[in-house]
Amino acid sequence: MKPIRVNSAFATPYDTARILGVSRARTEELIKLARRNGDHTAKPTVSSETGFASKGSAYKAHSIKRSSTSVARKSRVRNAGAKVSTTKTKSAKANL
Amino acid sequence: MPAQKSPLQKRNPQKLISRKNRVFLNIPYDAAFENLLLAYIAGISAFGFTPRATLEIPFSQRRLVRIISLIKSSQYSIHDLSRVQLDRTAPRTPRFNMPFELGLTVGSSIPNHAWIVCETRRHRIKKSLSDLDGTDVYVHDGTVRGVLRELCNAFVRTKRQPTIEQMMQIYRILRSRFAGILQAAGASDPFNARVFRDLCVLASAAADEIIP
Repeated sequence: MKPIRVNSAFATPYDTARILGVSRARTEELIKLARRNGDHTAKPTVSSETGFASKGSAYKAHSIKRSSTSVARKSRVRNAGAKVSTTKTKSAKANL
Repeated sequence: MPAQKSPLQKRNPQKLISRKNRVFLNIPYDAAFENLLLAYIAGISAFGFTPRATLEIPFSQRRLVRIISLIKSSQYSIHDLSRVQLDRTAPRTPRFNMPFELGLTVGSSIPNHAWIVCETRRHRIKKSLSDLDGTDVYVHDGTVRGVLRELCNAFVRTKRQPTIEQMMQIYRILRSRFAGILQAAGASDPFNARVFRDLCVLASAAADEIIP
């Protein structure tokens, strides 16, 4: 297959907005949205092709500091965030 | 003596210049195709193009005329012939719009217009549209990554060539802002003019940021 070679100028968001008839104010809003998103690009979920989770849902489990006596567990409820369980570990119970 | 301008240029000088970056997108408008619509918008914008679709055209008697003018005002067109099966709602019918618009494009013989055909399943087009035998068909397997991969196979930019990962990044941005855009438009799916326009501008802004 022979690809189509493109050497035209790259369309800016303002070009796109003008062609599609989007107002100036809405264009500025959308540009801001894109820039804000660029700072923290959404991370893929397990089914990376279908949906994305924002910071702090499933990823929260990895950020919780583990202590010797408490364990971070993900709730079994669908889409629920991780919560710190106060269940003692086996070694902690043994030391009591 | 300066060259005489055509009536079209006199009315809108920008119109002829920007035709280069326009891509007519001919895809099925159904809920199952939502992710692939976002993927097409992300991929097309990553190449610095502006997507155009019949979604922009209001339903009226002159719809066909406006579809033809939309095709003619684009330099490229992408025709996705994935939906060949019968739909679920009675009376069950196949979707003829996509092959019809491909026919309009081929039949119009627009100068300097390049068109490509995409499909979900390999070799199916040999059965569904055997007149296209000998034409390269881009098979995306019905996945987001597949669509982006096939767009990379179809187009090559001399400058600012996007990578699949950069295209995926744009797709993720669209995904993460999708609910907000739907809410702002009071819509429940992306197959309406306002949502489509917002998604295209957002994707273009993201591409401008991400692709150096």
